[in-house]
Amino acid sequence: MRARQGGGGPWARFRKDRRAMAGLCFLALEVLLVVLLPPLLGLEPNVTDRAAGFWAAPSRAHWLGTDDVGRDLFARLICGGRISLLVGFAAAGISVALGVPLGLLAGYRRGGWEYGIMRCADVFQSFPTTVLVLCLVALVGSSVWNIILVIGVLGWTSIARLVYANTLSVAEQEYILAVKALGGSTATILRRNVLPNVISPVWAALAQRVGRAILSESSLSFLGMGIRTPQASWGNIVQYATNVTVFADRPWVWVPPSLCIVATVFALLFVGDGLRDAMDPKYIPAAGPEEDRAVYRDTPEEIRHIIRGR
Amino acid sequence: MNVKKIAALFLALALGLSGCAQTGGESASEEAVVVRYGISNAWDSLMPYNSPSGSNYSRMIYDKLYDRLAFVHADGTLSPRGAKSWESADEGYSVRFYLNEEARFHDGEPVTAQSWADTIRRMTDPDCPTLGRSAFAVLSGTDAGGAALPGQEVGVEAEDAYVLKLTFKDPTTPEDFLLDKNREYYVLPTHLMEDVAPEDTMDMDLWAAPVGSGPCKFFSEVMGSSLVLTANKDYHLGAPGFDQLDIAVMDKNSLLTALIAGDLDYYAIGGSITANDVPTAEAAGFQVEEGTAPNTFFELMLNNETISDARIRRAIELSLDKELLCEQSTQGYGTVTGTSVLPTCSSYAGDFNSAYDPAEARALLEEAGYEGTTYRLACTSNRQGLAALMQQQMGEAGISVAVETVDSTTMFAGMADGTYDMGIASHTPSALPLWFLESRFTEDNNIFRVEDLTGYETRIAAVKEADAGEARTQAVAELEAYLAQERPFIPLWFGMGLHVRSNTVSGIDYPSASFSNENVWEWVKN
Repeated sequence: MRARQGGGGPWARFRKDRRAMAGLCFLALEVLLVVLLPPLLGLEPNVTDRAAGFWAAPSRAHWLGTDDVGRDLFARLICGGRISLLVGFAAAGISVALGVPLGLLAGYRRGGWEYGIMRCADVFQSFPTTVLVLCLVALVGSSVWNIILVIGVLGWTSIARLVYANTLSVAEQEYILAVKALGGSTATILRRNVLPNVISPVWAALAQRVGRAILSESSLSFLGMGIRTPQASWGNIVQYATNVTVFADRPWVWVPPSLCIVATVFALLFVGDGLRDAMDPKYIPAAGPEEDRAVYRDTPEEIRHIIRGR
Repeated sequence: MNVKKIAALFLALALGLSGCAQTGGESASEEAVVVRYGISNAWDSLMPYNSPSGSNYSRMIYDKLYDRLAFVHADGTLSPRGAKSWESADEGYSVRFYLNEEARFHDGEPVTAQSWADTIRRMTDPDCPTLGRSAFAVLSGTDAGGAALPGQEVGVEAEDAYVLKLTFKDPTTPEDFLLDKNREYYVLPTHLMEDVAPEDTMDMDLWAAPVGSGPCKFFSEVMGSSLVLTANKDYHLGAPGFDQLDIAVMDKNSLLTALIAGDLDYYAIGGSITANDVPTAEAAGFQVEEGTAPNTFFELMLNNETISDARIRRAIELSLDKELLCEQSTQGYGTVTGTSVLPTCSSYAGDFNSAYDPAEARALLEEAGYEGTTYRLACTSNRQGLAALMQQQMGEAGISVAVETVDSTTMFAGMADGTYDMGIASHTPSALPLWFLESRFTEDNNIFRVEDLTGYETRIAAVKEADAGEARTQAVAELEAYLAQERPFIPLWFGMGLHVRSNTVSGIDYPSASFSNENVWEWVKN
């Protein structure tokens, strides 16, 4: 008898987490808004309104006023959200795509692989991240895709460490030895037996990576090295707050994008926590384990196949 | 080791480190009257002839440590500094400077005409790796880059212990020379350089703790971050009214904030602020004064190699709504122009401006066969908004532009080597007709990458050769008409400075600071 994974499948468990669901709804709404509002409202983020002028205060025509070039700040906030979210999700995707296989290899193959990959991670992590990102962006240029690439590539280390640590533990499990004894190849073992058992914390980390990537882009833009004009991002709108007059007298310029960044990062954290719990095969709900005759998920396919054959 | 011992060890370590930090930040003396001075860009050397950037920020530092011949006021008038007076000689081909006998280097040695002559001879020596040597190209016996020609005497002579004579290639009045070159001529302590070969000049330890003859003495430096100078109480024009000048590099956006917070007494250059920030400064109890003369000239640099058709260059000018751009940049404190010649110049021949006309721009582009090439426009980060506006306006006329934000050194280097097609730059103008043009259409400095310089060289030479008055104005008009036709660069506007007055230091000549000199010997910390 095993403890059941807890309250049905992962999605059912995720739905029970109110904070996670609230975060997911917020993110979904945000994505919908940044995708649909520009065509629906005809938002023009890069067009100067000569009649409104520069630094116009909020009005019916410009809900958040205009910036130093006379562009509508609401349009830039919405369109900037597209860029910020794109940077966040794409960079996190790159980090996971690099970090998971490298962590698996280091933890499972050990030896030279482990030494090479983890020392490489040490080297990457020994540099102050912001400084390293600044240097690399200065080197390759600050286009959206370059920024995504740099933030994504530099984010692999935390994912790899997470996967590596879990793989070390899983690789010593008896069922892995059993699959090895049955002649399972390394690729099969990693893909079918190790990965499903080490991936759950990655879901939480993935959401965190998205948040961090958004913050990194915002920091870069704040420092003047991020998304370049005329493209908007939340970070480069917040950058206006470096001017004392804008900071003190025009909060409508920088408060909305700042709130968007904070709310998005919180939502991602909640979703990440929810995903971690929902995807964890060893998760036990707060109400206690449920008795179930279902085969425990970490039973390798090969063994289940043998059991079924008997 | 128990927890308490570990905690005690950490505490001791922390105290020790904080003690070290305190020692590092010590002032030159205990009760020193300190003027805290902010600057948004770091100097790149303490040797005035070894500055790769040659920026005004570096010049502001050299201005304190080393002496110049004169002090240039914002209105173009001159006051004595290293020289008490000057006169024209040799039918306008020479200028005789009568130096101040009281001037001393910081080590007590007198500053003589020989010091000036030796400085100029060393800096024009081809073996000496001088940067910014082109400033000496006006002197006879030098080539177009300012290096001494073999077998010829450079046009500098110590006629007497305190009489310095400079001889030029072309007739030049003392006023024209000083307005144009004063900020690039410094006297060095050549008595400390006698045994050093010209090629080793820039490697001397002297430049790590320089000895100059300016109103401030070197005390300490953290390269790129801070510089502590002490007042030269023996300065021949008077002792500064403070003991110590602490110069700190900080972000441009933080300067006004630091002034309001009381962390600074003044910031370079001239405490300049934008019109946008005036209410903030005034609300914080600071007075803001308007400059007395235009202190910036904005231009759009063009790469004449990649934008080789003059019709496309003219189309670019016609596509730009200079009035709107000027408003965005200066908030009403600028005047659009089609020339680099200041209206206050005696040879001013009109503004040669082309009015905003996107339809005409499109027609010119069609005529020139423009095929939608995307041009790379470089600008510094503080001009991103301006660049975005230009990009929009050119886009409306059908010109495709990609904006790249870079630092100013990269932008100028990129324009010089052809990396960029356009660049937004600003300069400090002077009342001379050729202050901008003369140095930008030479083989050594062809920043607009003009293939054939002859048309410009001929007309510039005609201006230089023309007698002051109507003849020169006519020559300027011909040059400007040619520029308007060819448009190797696009003049945009002249901007007036706004200066926030210090509440703690008096005697500052704010407008003149824009012209790369500050009268620190007249400053008094209240």
